[in-house]
Amino acid sequence: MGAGEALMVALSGFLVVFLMLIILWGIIVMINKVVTAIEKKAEDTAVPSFPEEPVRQEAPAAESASQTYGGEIALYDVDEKTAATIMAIISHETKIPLNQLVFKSIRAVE
Amino acid sequence: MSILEILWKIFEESGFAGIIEDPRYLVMILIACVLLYLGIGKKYEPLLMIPIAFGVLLANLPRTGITDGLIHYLSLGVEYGIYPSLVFLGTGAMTDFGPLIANPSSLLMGAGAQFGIFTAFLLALALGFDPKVAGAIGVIGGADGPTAILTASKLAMEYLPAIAIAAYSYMALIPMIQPPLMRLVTTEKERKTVMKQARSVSKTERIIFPIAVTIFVVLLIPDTAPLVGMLMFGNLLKETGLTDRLSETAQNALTNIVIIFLGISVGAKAVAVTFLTWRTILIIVLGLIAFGFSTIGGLLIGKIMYRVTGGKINPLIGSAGVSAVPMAARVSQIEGQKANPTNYLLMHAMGPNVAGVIGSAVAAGFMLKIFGA
Repeated sequence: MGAGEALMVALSGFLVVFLMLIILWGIIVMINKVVTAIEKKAEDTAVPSFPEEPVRQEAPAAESASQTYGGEIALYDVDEKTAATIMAIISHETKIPLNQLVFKSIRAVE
Repeated sequence: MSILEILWKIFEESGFAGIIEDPRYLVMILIACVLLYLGIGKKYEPLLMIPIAFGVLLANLPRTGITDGLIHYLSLGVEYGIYPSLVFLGTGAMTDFGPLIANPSSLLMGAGAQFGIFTAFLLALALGFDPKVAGAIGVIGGADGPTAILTASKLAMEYLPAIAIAAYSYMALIPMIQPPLMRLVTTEKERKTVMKQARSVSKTERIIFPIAVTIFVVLLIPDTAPLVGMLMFGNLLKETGLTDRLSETAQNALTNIVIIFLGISVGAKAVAVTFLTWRTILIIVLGLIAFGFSTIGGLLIGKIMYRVTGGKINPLIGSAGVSAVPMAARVSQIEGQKANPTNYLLMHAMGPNVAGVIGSAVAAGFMLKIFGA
């Protein structure tokens, strides 16, 4: 195999890999769009599985005054104890004090 | 017949006499011991290194006839490309493609990280290797053991042990090979980039993904069917949630059995006549070059994406585009945290990482398409 031919094989191989993965990118985007559209349509037609007006509750009290979460939060199918646990975990993992975090809602997915 | 004559006859027919007759066996036994040390003592990919090393040992104990019996039949799984494909089935069942689906642009980094494959291919040709062998050597740069083994079994059977040992050794050495290149190619500012959390991926997307990839990739490059087909089948078993038993078997029992057979068979191909040559050393060196260029290719695409997105993508995740799941992604995470302790790149790096698995399978399919006939 000559140098020119070898270079052509290498270049076309690299190009094929790139093209293939770029097209895969397009396919993933397309799948996302189709699935989102279908799921949105299904959501619009289905009866909501949670109340239209969520029960708005005072946020669960945190352990110490300095870490108190002072906002209001909407809980969908989540009890206060679970909500407090989730908020504490997020605060711990992100290393952001609880009183500096704003939670708008917590919803049980399934 | 005197006792002395009987003892002499036993010695003459023993493996020790075989070693005296051909001392290369002794060299191969020493190599097997070194590989065993790397696997056990240094923990370099022990799950594969130990079976490979023991295969080398068994095949190089003279006068056993084992390579004509047990090993011969086990090796059929390598020759027909069955074991690498089954390992891919298990890999698919263990892999979460969610980070890739959430951030499909990481496919570009997975593609860029195949750069080493084609660089090593050109270098191997320049060093006088046959084009088929050069193609198989190049695939070491994909940092994917089963892919390298499958390609070598089809294109360069005589170099299969050297290629497999090189591929697995360098995969184990990724935490040492990649970081200096990562620091060389990227700036500190780039390494400090904190990436935004990716979107969540629905179950429907996860189920459609392996089906769509199989249809599209295999239709375009049919030679990728054994690897991509099995990878995606394994992933489908995982994602449906209806075939947990099959998924669990693919992940554990089946993969473990296949790895034992694969390792022993590949190791047993390393016989002195073909292994103890300068070409083996060249293959080992070319493998390292391939790994280096693949890492640089992924990083460069990462840098381009950093610029194009206005600094939203940390280029360090580009090096994870070499397959080696999840070790390469872990290296990105570690290097990212060294630059910025609050940086969590692991899940972002998993995107290019699994994209690299697909990319190297496509590159291997290309080599098989061009040189396989």
